[in-house]
Amino acid sequence: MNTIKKSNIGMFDDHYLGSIEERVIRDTKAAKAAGAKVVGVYCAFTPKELVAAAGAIPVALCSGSDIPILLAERHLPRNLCALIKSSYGHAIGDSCPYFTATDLLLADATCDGKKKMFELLGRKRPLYLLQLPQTAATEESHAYWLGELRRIKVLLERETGSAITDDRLRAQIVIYNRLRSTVHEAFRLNMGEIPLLSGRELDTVTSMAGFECNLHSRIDEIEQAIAAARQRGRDRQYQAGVAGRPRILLTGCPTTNRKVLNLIEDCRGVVVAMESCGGLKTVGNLVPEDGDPLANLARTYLDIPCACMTPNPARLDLLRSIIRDYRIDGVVELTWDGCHTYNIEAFQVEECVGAAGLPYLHIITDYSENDTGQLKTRIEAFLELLN
Amino acid sequence: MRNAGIDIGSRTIEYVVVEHGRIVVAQQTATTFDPLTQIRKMLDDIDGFDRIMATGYGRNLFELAFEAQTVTEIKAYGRGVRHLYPDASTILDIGGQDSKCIVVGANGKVQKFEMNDRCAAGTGKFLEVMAEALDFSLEEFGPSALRAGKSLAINAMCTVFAESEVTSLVSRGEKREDIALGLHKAVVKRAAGMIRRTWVGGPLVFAGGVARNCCIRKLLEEELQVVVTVPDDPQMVGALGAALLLEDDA
Repeated sequence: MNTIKKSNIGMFDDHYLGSIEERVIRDTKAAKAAGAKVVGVYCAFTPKELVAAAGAIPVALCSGSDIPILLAERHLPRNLCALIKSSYGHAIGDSCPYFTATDLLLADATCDGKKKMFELLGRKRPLYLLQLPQTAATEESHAYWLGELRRIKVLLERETGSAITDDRLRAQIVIYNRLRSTVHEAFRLNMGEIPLLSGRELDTVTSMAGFECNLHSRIDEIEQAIAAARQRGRDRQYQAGVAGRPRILLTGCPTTNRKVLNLIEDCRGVVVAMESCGGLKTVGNLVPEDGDPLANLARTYLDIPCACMTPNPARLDLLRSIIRDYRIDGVVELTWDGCHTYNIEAFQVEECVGAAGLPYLHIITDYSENDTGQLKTRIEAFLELLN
Repeated sequence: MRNAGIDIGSRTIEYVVVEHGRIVVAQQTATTFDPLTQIRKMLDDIDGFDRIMATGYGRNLFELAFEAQTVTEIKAYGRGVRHLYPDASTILDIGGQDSKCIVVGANGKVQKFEMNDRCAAGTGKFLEVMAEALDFSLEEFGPSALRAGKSLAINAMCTVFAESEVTSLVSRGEKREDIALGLHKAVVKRAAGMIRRTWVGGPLVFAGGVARNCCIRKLLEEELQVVVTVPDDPQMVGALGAALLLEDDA
C-alpha cells in the first residue's frame, strides 16, 4: 500500500556531485599541464596505488549510460552485458570525457566479456592487461598475481618516466587506505536504526567523481558529507521520513547504472548498503602499511570477492556480515543481463540469504527503460512482503 | 462503509465494491489507449464508494488522477484469492501481458512470488495474437484446441517468432486445431516451470484473464498432476483483493 513519491531527503544530489567533478577536472588539468599522465582503469583489481606512485592520475571510466550501446554493438555482440558495451561505446565514440583525457589504459582480465572486449579496445589506446588469476584460494595464484603487478610496475615506470619506489608506493597505500576508511565510514552511517544516507546519496557521496588526483581534497569532501549526514540523526523530521522504510541490501553487478537503485528508492525502500565494487566489496579490506608494499597490494587486491573468481566464498561471508550489521530486511540482487558469473553465483546468494531468514529478489536487466513497468511491480511487491 | 478496488490491467479494467465482505458491484471494461477516460465512464455509471484502492499496471496513473491508495496486483491477487478460497496457498495469475505465481502463507500474507521478465511470452497477449493468426475468436480458441487430433510442437516462445512458426506450420498443411493445441502446450510448459520454482504443494488457484481458457486449465492439470481451481470470475480477483485490503485496514 505504497504511495509513490520521490524521497526528498537529499542534499547530496547530481548538482552536489557536479561541483566536485568540476574541482577534480580543474586539478587534473593543472597536473596534466605539469606533465602528469592519465591512466584509465576498468576494474577493481587494478591497484590504483601503483598508478599514483608513478605520478600518474588514475581514472575510472564511464560505463553507466544506455546511449553508447548502439555504437558498441557495431563491434560487440548484442547479448553481452550492458556495462561492457557501454564502456566500449563510450571509448570508441569519444563520449566519455575521462577516456578522452587518458594516455593509456590498465585493464584486468576479469570476466570473459571484458577480456575479449579489451582486445578491441587496445586499438583505441595503449592498453596493458593484467592477467588476473581465477582464484584467490592458492598461494600459487597469489605469487602469480604479484608477478603480474611487478610486470605492470615496470611498464608504468617506462610510460611515465618515473620510478615507483617502495617509499612512494607506501605513501600511496597510506592515502588510499584513508580513502577506503572514509568511504567505509560513510557506509557505516547506515548501521543504526535510522539510516542517515539513502543508497543514491551514498553512491554520490562516495563516488570518485572521475580523476583520482588530489585525494586529500576528495577525502575532506567525503568527511564533510559524513558530518552533515550525522546532523540528520538529531533531525526529527528527517527521522520521521525514513522510519519504517524497508532496509535493502543491494548486491550483484556494479551499480554503474542507477535504474534499479532508483526504482527501489522510488518505491520507498532504502538501500542502506551496497555490496558491490566501490561499495562494501572493496572498501572493507585495508592494505597492510608495513612490509613489502607490492606484495601487500597483491595480497589485498586479489582477495576482492568478485564473482569472476572461483570459488568465491568470501562474498557470502561478506553478505552475512552486512545482513547482520546493517539490520537488513530484504536483499535485492542485480544482474546485468549477460553477466554469467554473477548470474550463476546468484543461486548460492539466494541460499545464503534464505539461510539468514531474509527474502531475496533477483533482478536480471540491462540499461534500457523498456522493462520499468514490470520491474516496478516486482520491486513494489517485494517491499510489500517485507512490511 | 463501501470500499472499492479498481484493477487497471493492460487489456481490461475491473471495478469491485465491497460492503461488509460482500461484493455489491462488479464491472469490467476494456483498457484501450485511453484508460483514464474509460475509468471516468465506468465510475460515472455506477454507485459511489467511500474509499478506493487501485492496482494493476495503471495504478500510478489512477493515483495521480484520483485520490487513491495503490497496491501491487501481486498482493491484491493474494488477498482476493484468500477471500474466495481461505485455504489456498499457491496462485497462478496470467493476465494480458504478464504472468505471476504467488505463494500466500497461513497468515494470508504473500510469502514469495515469481513474475515474468519484460516480454509477454506465454501471456494473454501471446494467445490473443496466435488466435488471430489462426482466425479464431479468443472465446473459441481454447475449445478448438481441445478438439485437436494431434499436438504439434511449437518451440518459440517469443510472440514474433512463434507467429512465424505458425505460418510455416500452416503452409505445411497442418490443421489449425492441432497448431492451436501446440501453442497452448507451449504456454502451459512455461507457466509450469514458474509454478514448480515457487510451489509449496496443495491445490492451485488459477486467476487472471487466461484462466478463462479451458484448454490451458486442462493442460495445467495434466502437466502438474494437481487440481486447478478457477474462480467464477477470474478477472475480478485483483479488484476484489484491493477492495478487501481497504476493508482490512478499517
